[in-house]
Amino acid sequence: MPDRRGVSRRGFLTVAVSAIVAGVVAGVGGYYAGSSAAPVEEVTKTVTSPTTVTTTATTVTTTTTTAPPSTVTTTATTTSTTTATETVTITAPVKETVAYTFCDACNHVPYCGIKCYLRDSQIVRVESWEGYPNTPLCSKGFATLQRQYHPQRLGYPLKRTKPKGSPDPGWVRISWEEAYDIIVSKMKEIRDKYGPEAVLFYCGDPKEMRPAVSRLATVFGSPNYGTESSTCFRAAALAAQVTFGLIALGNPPTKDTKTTLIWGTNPAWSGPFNMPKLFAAKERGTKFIVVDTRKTPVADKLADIHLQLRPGTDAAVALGMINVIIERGLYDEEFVENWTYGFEALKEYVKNFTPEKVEEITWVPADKIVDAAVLLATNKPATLMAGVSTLTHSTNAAQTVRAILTLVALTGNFDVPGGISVPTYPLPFRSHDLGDPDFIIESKKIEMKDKRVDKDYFPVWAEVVHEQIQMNRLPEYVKSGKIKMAILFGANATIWPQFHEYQEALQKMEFAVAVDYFLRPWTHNYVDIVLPAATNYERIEPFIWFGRKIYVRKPVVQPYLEAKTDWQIVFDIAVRLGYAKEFWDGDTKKGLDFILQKAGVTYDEIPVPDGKEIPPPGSEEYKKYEKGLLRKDKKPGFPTPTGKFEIWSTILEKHGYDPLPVYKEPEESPITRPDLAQKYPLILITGSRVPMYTHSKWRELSWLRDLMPYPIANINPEDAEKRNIKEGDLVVVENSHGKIKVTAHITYIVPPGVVDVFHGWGMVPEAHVNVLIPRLFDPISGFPTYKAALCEVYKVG
Amino acid sequence: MARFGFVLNLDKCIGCHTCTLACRVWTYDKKEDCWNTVLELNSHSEKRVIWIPYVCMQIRDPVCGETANSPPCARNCPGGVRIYGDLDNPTDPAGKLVAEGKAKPLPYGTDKPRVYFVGKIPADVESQLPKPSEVLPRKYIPLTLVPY
Repeated sequence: MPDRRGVSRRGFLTVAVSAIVAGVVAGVGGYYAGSSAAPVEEVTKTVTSPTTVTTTATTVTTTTTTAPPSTVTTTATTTSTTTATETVTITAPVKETVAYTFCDACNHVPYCGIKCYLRDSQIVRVESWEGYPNTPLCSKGFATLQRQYHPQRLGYPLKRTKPKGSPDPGWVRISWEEAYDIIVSKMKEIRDKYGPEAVLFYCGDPKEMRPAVSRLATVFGSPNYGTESSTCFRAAALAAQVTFGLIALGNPPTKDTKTTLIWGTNPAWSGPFNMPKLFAAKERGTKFIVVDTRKTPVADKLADIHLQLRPGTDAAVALGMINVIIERGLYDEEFVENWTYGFEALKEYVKNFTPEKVEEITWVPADKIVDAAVLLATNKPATLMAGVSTLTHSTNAAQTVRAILTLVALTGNFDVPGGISVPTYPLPFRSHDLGDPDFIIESKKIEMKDKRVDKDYFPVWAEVVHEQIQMNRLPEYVKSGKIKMAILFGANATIWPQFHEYQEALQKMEFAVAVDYFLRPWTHNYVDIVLPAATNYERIEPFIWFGRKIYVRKPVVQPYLEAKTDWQIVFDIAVRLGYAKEFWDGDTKKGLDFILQKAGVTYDEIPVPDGKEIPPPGSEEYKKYEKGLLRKDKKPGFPTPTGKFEIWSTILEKHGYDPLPVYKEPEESPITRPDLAQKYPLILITGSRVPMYTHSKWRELSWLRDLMPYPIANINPEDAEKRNIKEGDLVVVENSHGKIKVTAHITYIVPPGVVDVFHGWGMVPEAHVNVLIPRLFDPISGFPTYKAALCEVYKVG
Repeated sequence: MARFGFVLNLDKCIGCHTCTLACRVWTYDKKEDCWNTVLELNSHSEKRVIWIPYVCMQIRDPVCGETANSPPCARNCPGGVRIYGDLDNPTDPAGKLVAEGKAKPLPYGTDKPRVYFVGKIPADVESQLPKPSEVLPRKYIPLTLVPY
């Protein structure tokens, strides 16, 4: 148990002592935010310890005292009746102000809400923004307070003084003017030499800057804009697009929902704000089917049926359930008859997936497959909550999601109250992770599609994902000479499998610039300039909305030192490139208003913290495919080439891929590679969510690091015992691609036969699990196999 | 006299540590230790993991001082695990669970228990719950401490 250990193997506490000293020294520079913050609302609140005041009097007196200078804005009046010296204890009211912002601790869209308490223009505490839709805040959200005042935050633009490849880049502080001059002249130079498409624009984490960066890429003339969604949300979205033409991957249960199918996601740790809704549904009697290799809190607390499958075999489970549903005639005949394409072929194909056969493939007992299928098909309506970046981390990524969506559609749960639905009247702009099409000028991106570097590698992606390229072949894009420069926001070079190839790709470029909160050597050692970004407490961009309600924020504090907001950096570069008109003369709020005006409001018209509801033009409709509400031409049906829900995907067929939502074994599994499995008999899953970190983020925050001080591997007690591994032992996790050293954590969260290693330990190179992940990609989506590899574990020494 | 304390619904504890961080934020501001954590314990009999919060009032009065209504650890809990109230008052939601005998005390280092739980916990876990003093407090970590 990491949280009960005293001193860690990696010396968390030992290191901490010297870090205290370092912190004090670093602190001299004044890392507290400036004083002219714009509090949103003022409250007077009684806080801090009582103040003791001594008064001397001989008669009845009224004494007015002022609190000590250490407390702020206080006037305390005490009335005492005394005849001699007496000690009167009073409580000094200390003026605190309250302000609100959105959280960027993880990568959700829309973001959670933070309520901030300030004293003397410094944020002293944070908690959940009450009354805001995504609430409560999680552990990581609370810890953003530590990031805000972190002594190592980047405060100035930095330039390397030693050539790339030197162990120390020799960073020196430069002015923003110098940084911008270098970046803009390099962009022009690359554009003149190779064309604008040789400049790659990239957004890692968070997602807030995406629309601005994407717009700059378009205006500059490069379709080569990519994001970390190349390993996360976008494959599942692509799968939905090539199946029914929309991006809809399920939603939490509503009061109408009878069954909730939670597949490969654990909102307890990845989005705790969902838990109130899920527990409420449970109390209403909603049944839960949880499909997850791990016995997560969600599986443990909510599941009526838990299908604990072998990693990477999700599609086989879905096809097994479809088999049961078709065999027993439990599917929605009307929907299948009128609105699907390819049902007969599917019916034939799933005959191979009997519950017994599926048990053999997936480890899930046949009777549980049957029970889950019958429950889903009969206890309706049912909704889906799908883990977009678990289901897609195998070489069968897109088809896995297609199989699950097909299962939900066949049971008649698409676009019904309480099922999976899409809003009838969404606000007229698209979410920031994709970017509003008008703002990012998507039409121009489509015009430039022949210059996309991904089109020959991932043709389906290049055809249906207009707004971003697939990034996984970055080493090839650079080696082939197509990408010469990169502008990176929140990038981490180690998120990719065999990440050294991506570090080398960055290094090989003629020029690269990164924008970040901290200096992160595993990425920034390979770039030329690093710029300091303002945090979520310091910026207004962007706004956010839930349904038809829009929320905005005001800066809670001034940016740290010379940090600037991502949007401002983009706008400043754009203006210097000569795009003042396209970027509103550098005024980011006007940029936001460009999007907001489509809903008939401006940023300043939206109050904080109340937000503004834009009334819908009509009431919510369901079965929109019957009513011509899903297609641009207003005809009934789905926005697909056939107008149907394409079980048989005509787009996949056109590109030569299997048109049915097929199951294929992971490319490295005990079945496909028995030779490897003999040596590496355990299945390796990586990056499954933990409560205290998001990917590589937050190792620098001591409040969270206290909860998991060092890299661990979750191992089932049975597997541990066989290998004589005890809690806290240093172990090697090894496969044919590499090996890492981590600490063993013995837990029933993982089933026997599976090892679960969290990712993102960039600062502990010998523990970075991506060295164990091969560069094998799903041919349709280009996704790597983070959750379907092989390994063996043994004790060090 | 009122006996304020917590009843924890362990059927809803998801081990997310929101309470830990809420406590951290309220206690660092007073330069105090953090008096909250969540244990992750293996039940060998049921082959599953259970999460159990350990709370200041097993040992001492709350440091946060926000005990008038719902302390930060309780009001920010995504699972709604924590019921805070007068344990001796049978009309209080927390006190009612105690009065009805539905709530059992977690190990305590005070003269009377002030943290109870409801919900199913495996017998092998319940019989081996650590003393609160073995678990709490988590040492004070200043806002600006760098962990490495």
